[in-house]
Amino acid sequence: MLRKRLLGAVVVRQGWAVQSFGYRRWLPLGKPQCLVENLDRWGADGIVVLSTDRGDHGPDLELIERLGALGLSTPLTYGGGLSTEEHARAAVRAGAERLVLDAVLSHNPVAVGAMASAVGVQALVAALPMVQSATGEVLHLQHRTGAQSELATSIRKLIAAEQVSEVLVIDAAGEGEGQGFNPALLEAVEAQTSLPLLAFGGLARAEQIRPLLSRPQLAGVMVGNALNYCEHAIGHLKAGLTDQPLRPHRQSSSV
Amino acid sequence: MSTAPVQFCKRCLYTTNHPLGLVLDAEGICSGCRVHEEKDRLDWTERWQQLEQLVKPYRSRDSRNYDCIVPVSGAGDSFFIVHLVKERLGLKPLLVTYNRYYNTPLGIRNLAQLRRRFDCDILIQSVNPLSVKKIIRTTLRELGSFHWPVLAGQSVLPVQTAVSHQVPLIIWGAHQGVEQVGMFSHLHKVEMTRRYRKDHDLMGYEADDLLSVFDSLTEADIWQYRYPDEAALEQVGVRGIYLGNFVRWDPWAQHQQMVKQAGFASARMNRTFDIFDHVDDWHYMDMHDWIKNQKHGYGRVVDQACREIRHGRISREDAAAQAKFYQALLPKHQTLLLEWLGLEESGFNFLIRQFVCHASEIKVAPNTIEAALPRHLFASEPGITLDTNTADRPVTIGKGYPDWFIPSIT
Amino acid sequence: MSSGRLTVGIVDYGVGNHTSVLRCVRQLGFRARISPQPDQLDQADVLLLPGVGAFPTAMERLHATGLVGYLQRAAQLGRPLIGICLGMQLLAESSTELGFTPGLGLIPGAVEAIGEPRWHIGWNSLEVADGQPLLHASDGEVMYFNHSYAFRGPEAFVAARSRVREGSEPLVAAIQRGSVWGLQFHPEKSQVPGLRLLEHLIRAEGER
Repeated sequence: MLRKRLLGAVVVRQGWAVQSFGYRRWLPLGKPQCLVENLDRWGADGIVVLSTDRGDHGPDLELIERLGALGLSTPLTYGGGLSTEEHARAAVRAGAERLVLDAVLSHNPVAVGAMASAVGVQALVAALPMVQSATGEVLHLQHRTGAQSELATSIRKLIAAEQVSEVLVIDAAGEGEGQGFNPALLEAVEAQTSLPLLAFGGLARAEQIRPLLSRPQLAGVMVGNALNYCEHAIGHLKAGLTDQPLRPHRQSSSV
Repeated sequence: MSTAPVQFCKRCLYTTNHPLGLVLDAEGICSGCRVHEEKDRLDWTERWQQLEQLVKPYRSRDSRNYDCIVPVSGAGDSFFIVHLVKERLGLKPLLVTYNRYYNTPLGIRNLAQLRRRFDCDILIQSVNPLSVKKIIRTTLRELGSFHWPVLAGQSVLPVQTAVSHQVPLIIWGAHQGVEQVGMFSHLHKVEMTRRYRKDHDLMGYEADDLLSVFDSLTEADIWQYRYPDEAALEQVGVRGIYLGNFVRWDPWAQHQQMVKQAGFASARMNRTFDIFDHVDDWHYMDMHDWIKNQKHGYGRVVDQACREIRHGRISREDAAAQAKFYQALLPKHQTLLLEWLGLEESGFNFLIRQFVCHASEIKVAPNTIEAALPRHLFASEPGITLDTNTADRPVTIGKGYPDWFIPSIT
Repeated sequence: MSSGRLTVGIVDYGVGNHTSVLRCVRQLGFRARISPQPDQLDQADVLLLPGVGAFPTAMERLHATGLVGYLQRAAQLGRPLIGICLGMQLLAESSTELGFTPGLGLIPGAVEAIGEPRWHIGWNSLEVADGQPLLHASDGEVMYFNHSYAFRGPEAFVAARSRVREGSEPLVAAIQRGSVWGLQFHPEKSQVPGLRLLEHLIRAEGER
């Protein structure tokens, strides 16, 4: 039976791995490769590296190669600056297993189909930062511009046509605060697609993660800042979630 | 790593070039200063209760084991940490200390005073000096640092001891990332991680990285510095906490308290106004600090000055003047270090030259340059300097120290 | 660990990134090299065929580098060959991914779309078939899968399966015929369980 995943997020900004707070504030943590190698050793179900400041400069291939050279035995997903078929090819060639697409969904959704042909739909994850307005409406946040709007038709079509294999729903307001993930955001996306979903933003404790994992459509959760405050953070979270269909945590020992 | 121009904090002396990473907010105040503000906002009584609750399950049920491991040295926060652990928390600590080799007689004396005054058991580890010097020659050449073995040893010995003695709790003083650059809030209650050690303490190089990257070392030279494996750590439940998350951390005030109450001895040192940190090390405030200045553009006195600015004991202008004066002072114990390492001066200078970066000039108005000690920081003058030792040689623990060396302590 | 170090030859046919497989195999204590050259691959005790992307492109590249014949001869000679992920699928007789393409034909069977669900992505447990002593220790271990096409073939060559949901039709997770093995999952991305399985398989086949 397919397990749900507990993924470790590494947010990268100006070459630094950072703690991210609502896409607005950042505090440095250290070298991305140190965090990634650590998540690998801890036994995270996957490592997701998000380069937040690529703009129009394409993916950070040098970073992906550097991480690939670490000899990780955990699947590596990369997001940031991916907007063309060539970007996608290059990122996979450089060592990324899967790719997270964000800005391109809004700016050039047509490119997603080409990327899917190039690297396979199962390599693509669509990231949707979402916020809930004061009136309760769930809106899509384009974090480059700050614009909040209903999910664009082009994006809805893309998801309906299953040109990506998973949707990463991001609680943009809660991100970094460790106060939990707003389930209304998942409800809104579940209404649009039957693709498997991932949730990221505000998750710090097992009891915040548990209700999300019990949603049938949820394939996994991503934790960011909270993984940096203590040793064996992945193990502690999994120890609090043994009733959930996660891959069991094992004390790593030499092969 | 950033390509943006270097900026100074408006309140302290740090810049955005800080090796631990530092950010400025919209008002130009740095993350370190902002987290420091928490020290005056948080309810420390309540946080002490949290600490009591945290350590409760670690109290050993019988008298046959220790409650915790406390890493110590003959300087720094060791006295205050042991005071809190033993006298306020009522725990039974096993003290551990890593022998850094170039110990000052004062440091040896302080360590003995610490052990006797607080009536604690202590484990002292000396890694064989040949390996240590081999490692240093490599890290000096490749990383521009001779401090790697001390950093590696100090940070791994408590963890190895926790595993070997099956004592899971390790108690540290303050977290450098929190105190200097506000990497974490006190509210995060950040704990010790292997990742932070490798990333920041060891400049990205663990023992096995030195082995695999540099040809000059063998397994025999570095295995002592290796972190215990995940299985061992998880089986024992090793956990390192920082008292600075639960106590309003103020090193200057704490050291003064320990001089008075516990016989901690202080001394004047090179390149700083501070008389408490690093009294146990011949080179930390001398050759090491001078090299650090070349590499990072600032010396330890800036860390100490920022600390005192934030605690409201010195103005930014005075601090800048102090920092400018002290950073310009040259090291005095170069020969001592080079003889010990077996290096020629010209060779050493060549090695260091490749690590020089442009120092960030602290802007100081000309008429405020002040060469004297900031007198208002002191209740009384410390009686001695680090050089008060006619043998003028480091003392290796185990060789003993000259018994005619008895500093006068009130 | 045995003192004589086995050499693993990672077949380079111009598709995909082999760094992680190379590092993984070296970390396991084996010598490893990536090469498209038959004379260098001849020196390997065990051949490893990685693969990522689409079946037709991969077969085209194998033909272009002249490695189809080399791999077929290697199998005939009883040399150990392990195909990983797309590399496993290439061992089959054919695939219908993006049109019909013949494979290496080393293990009878065909590669077809999984269908429902469209993809098998994530961590899933292995159900090792009976009579598979080399994989026996990995029965029930959880491995990382990432594929949308799967092998279908005679029972005799199916070494392990994995099922997406309780009670759903199992997918083939591993195949074997003589010294030729195929692993649909990524052992090099499956942490300790995957590394253990790979190490065991390489050693057992390499030392025969």
